[in-house]
Amino acid sequence: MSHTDESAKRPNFEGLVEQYYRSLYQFAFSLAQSESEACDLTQQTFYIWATKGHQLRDVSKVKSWLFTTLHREFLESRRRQTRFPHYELSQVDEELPSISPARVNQLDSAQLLVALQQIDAVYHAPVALFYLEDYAYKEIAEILSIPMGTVKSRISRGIAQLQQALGGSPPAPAAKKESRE
Amino acid sequence: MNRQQAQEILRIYRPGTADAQDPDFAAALALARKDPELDNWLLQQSLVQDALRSKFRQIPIPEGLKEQILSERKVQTSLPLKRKLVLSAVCAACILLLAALVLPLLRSHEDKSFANFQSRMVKTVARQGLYPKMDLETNDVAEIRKFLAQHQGHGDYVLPNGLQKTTSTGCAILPWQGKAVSMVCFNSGKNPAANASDLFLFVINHADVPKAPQAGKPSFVQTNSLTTASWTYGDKTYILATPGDEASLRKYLAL
Repeated sequence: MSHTDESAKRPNFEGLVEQYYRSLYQFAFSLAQSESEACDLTQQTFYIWATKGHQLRDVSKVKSWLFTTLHREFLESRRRQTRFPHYELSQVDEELPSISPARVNQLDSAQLLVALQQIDAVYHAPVALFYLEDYAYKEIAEILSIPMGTVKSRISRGIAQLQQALGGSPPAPAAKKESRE
Repeated sequence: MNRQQAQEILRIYRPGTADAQDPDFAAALALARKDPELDNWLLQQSLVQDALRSKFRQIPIPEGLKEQILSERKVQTSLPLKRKLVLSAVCAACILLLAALVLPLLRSHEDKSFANFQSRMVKTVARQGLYPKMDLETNDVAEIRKFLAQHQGHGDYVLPNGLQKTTSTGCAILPWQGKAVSMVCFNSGKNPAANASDLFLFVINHADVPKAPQAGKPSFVQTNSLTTASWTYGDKTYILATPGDEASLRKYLAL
């Protein structure tokens, strides 16, 4: 493919902003839980795209690139030095609290965000990507640079914590009594 | 797979996405189709997930964010370049100033001790392993002596008897504190490669190294994973280094 053809396919800046700034902001807000910080992260992500986006060879991965970049910027901003512990799905022992669809439908965004603030920080990114975008687990793993099993376990645990925070009742005792094979 | 295991897997199942193609989900979904209770649980679970997904996507976007991103792009793409140029110029000026101030001081305080000389020489070969960089690669001792003599080295170096029988592999002239150091390399025979070197002799004028060993018995030191023997003979000071131990070095030192 010639350079001209590749350039022609490369999305323009305004088009990318129009397409992704909402979901990127929502992702940023889920991570940072601060409007100003989420705005900064979103702007910074597009700034990085403007300066380094030309290095991305596969233009079909622009969306993943943007989410990956935003996540990295968030981690950098927090200067996290400690590695997050990895849990495999088989190790997840938290039961999903029982919450009704009607209860969730009654919530407004503010209540959701309050609940989101109550879950462990390590689960924010996978849970947000799980709900905001219909990414495959493999893609989420690539964006967050963690194994796919870890993605699943973090989503599972994060959802459990989120539903608990939203007022879900503890799981039915009968479910706990069941033995694992 | 039992019901509880299926529930664990289906906790994060998203209907209408590629999840259904995942083998784990597929097996759990197959079980749900046979188990009405599990199927009902899955239905409720899916409704909750749909509702939550919808709420996440309703997180309000601040007004003017898009315009802010687009407008700042112009500022961001021009300002950093200017900043970088200014910063680069300031940094370069600072480095030059610092170098001008500090280098003369460093030079006057450079460690000229024999220990430092020994350490520097040993590090040179320790970094390069069996194939150190040489100015002349040859097994001909006469050629080595000639080369060293012609390049301000020490062509008249005197080898202990044990070392005279060892095959030379080449030589180099190394600088140290503005003085010339002759390096002569040998192959002890332990390594089958003909051009490998595992004995390294450094020669320097005795007067060029303060507190160099006086004439007499060699002294042994372990430096940077190499064992060294140092001694002075005539007007020259010698260091012999090898990856072996002291005993393996001693056999080369009999005069």
